[in-house]
Amino acid sequence: MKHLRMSVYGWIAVAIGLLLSVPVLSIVFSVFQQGQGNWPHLASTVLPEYVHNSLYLAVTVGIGVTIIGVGSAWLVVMCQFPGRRLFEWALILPLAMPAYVVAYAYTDVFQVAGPIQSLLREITGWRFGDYWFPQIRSIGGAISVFIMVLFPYVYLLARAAFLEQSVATLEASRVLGQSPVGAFWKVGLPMARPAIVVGVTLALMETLADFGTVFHFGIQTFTTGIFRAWASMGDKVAAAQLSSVLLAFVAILLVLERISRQRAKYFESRSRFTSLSTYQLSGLRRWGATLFCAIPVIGGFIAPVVMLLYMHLTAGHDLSDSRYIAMVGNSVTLAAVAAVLAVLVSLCLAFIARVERSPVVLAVNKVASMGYAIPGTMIAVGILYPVAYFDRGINHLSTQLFGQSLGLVLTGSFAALILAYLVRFMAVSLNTVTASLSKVTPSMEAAARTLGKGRFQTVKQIHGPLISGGLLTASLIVFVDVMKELPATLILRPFNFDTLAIQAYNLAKDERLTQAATPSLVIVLVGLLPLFILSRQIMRSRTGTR
Amino acid sequence: MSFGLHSIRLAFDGVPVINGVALSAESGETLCLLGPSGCGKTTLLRILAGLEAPDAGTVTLSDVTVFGAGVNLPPEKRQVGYLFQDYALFPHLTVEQNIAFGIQGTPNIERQVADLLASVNLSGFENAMPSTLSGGQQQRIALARALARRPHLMLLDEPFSGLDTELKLQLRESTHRLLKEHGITAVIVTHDPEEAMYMADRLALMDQGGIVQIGTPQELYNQPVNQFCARFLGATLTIQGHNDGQLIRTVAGTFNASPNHPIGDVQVLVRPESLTVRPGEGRYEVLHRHFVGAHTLVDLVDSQAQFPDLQVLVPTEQTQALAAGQSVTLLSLQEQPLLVVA
Repeated sequence: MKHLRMSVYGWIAVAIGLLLSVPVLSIVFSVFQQGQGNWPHLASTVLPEYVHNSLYLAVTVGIGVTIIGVGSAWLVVMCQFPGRRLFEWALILPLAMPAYVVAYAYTDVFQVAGPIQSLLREITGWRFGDYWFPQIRSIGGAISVFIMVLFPYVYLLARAAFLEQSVATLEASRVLGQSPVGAFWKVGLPMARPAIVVGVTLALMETLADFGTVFHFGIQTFTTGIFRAWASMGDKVAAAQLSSVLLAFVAILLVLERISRQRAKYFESRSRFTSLSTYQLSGLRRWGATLFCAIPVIGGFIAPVVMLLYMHLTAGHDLSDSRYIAMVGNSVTLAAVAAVLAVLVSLCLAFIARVERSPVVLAVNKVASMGYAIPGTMIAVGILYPVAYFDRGINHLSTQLFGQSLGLVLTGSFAALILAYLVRFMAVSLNTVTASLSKVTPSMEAAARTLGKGRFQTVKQIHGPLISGGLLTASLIVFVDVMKELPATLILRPFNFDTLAIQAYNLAKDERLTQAATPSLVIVLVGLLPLFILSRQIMRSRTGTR
Repeated sequence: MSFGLHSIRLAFDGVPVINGVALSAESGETLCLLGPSGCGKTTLLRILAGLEAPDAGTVTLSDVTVFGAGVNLPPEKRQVGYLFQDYALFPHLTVEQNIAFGIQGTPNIERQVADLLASVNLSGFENAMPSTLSGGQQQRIALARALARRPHLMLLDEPFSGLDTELKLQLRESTHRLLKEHGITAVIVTHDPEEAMYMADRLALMDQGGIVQIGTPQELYNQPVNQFCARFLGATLTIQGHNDGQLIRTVAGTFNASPNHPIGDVQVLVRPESLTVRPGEGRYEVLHRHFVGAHTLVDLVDSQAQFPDLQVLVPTEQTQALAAGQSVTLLSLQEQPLLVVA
């Protein structure tokens, strides 16, 4: 009998899966732990506020990204208006911006001492307090920043869903008596709904995961609370227990996303149809459409980049300074190591899943690609506290055996930090690698074998060339994500190990926002790289259009 | 190259896929494996190629054991050609590189590739990428690639599925000719009985991991061992009859009974073309005629509303008198029934 027993490879996959679930498992276990007694205090004082703020953020950001994302996707797919071709890819640009970078830029420009308010005072002669100006450091400011940066998730998925809808379905609804707008509301939108829900849940996961923005704006959410429990109170258990509450929110989003993905598949049309016929907008509507698409692109990308550039040029740091060169080196090294490891592990898991095809291995791959939903703060705390146990155990052992303590072995080590990155970014890498591996069909492997090639030659001549592009893409995306990552790096980094993201955070914390522009700009520039690949795919996915 | 499969057994996750199959072919023979999807025919092909290892049994190629008794020769050492259902062309290689894939390191590769392309009527396609070719062209490139290694045994898995009808007819003729010209032993897997009968010297009908009947196309078509075989190879009509041990009397005349036929009320299976109708006072009435070319399908209803409706196949030139409402007699052209069941 075949396939019933699991091979060695299956067990390797299970081991990798377990390692990647360490943070979540340790957070779940923390519920049963005794901390330093901070939990009851936290639960009665700040927890309700965390829940309230996080929910409030989730609901408002959810509504905002839906309106902007679905609206712009529908305009770009179904309508003709000035700049449509440009917006089709420009609408993804905000993805290059970490929310905290955008927050730093807007704060610097819109705060009381910033150029806008200064100019206003100069022109009008008012003094501070004489006039009302929106306070950027507020929950409203955070909501605006999140909407502007995260709407592309909804845009991308809604756009793909609209493009995939068969012309026939929409035309059938027209023949059955619906107006163009009616066809959209009655047929187009309901069919795209699962995909839209996926986009919104992704945006909300990022919202809940954010640390830099809410910390900078002084908003009490789970991530800042977890960070404080660890940094100020030094209570790892309380931090983990707070995380377990956040985990419940994350789990809901994750389940919602997975279910919607299933349903979205159901709505995909089987065959590619000719291009959708688009509506030619006229008059005010024409420019209204342009404006609707332009605002989020400007707000989420162009304006903050211009601000950062201006800040950098007027009072920024010198990038060729040796401190900066060291930081760039640190960032690049960390990101490169994480990227290579992530791709290797993905390759391992994808190959095993392909050979093994057992439910256990498939489940492992599902578990391994769950980390994108889990906030970096939480992953860091979930790693921190088993690692501390491990160090204590090792030291206890070595003191007993050799009469000498080893100090901190894993705490504050690169291993712990890299593991956090792997957990958080394994999904994108694993999905890309699996997708590229699926280009090699089982019959291609068999064909190479019957044509006289052994296993090794088959992998070298068939798999190698066919998946190398996918591996490169996967490593690039992980590389960039690690460069942008803030909270996990902040908590787990070795002492005095500064990266560009850490530098931006530190400068912003010290209210030196103008200087924070320099590292932020580098992060944004690097963040643009994967968007080139994405925008190429976007333009290619629509060859049928005029 | 001759081959032999002996007592092959295979199960996936405890579900049996091949149940003790024995099958062999002589050198130069074309054998077709016919059966419904999931009957194990492709698995049998993969076992022959070495792509799948059976749980039990032996496989021999030219009387040399390649599987069994501790031996398991890997596919790359078996010198068999395999044509995959989806053609499995390598998308990153040109047509020339695809065809040369199995003969890397041999002299005069360019010449060989040119000859192979000529033999499948695709000269000049050396530098095309597979994705730019039509389905029929891809099929021929895949065939050329498999032929490049001069295999003595060629395994073809649903080689013409997914092609439109006209192309299918063309390709099965040219493929058949190529295999015979080179004297290559071939095993062709298909679920299309007409294709199987067209290609095969011998035909093996499979069902649920076992072989139901094996023989020439004529044997399977005209002397099926059971209803499954009778129905799988072509259309059948069922008429009621009574067997007294010598003769089976039916509404379409009498058939010779043989000792293995059940006695009493029986059902007689016949091919539609072995029945004909004669105008005149008879049991049946013409309901409708469907002209489909050389033949016309004639719908018959029992005037006493006792026997089920029938549809018979009549040469078109004999159908002038068969207008709707015409009373007709049913007549069998053969005295041997296709199959008699209780």
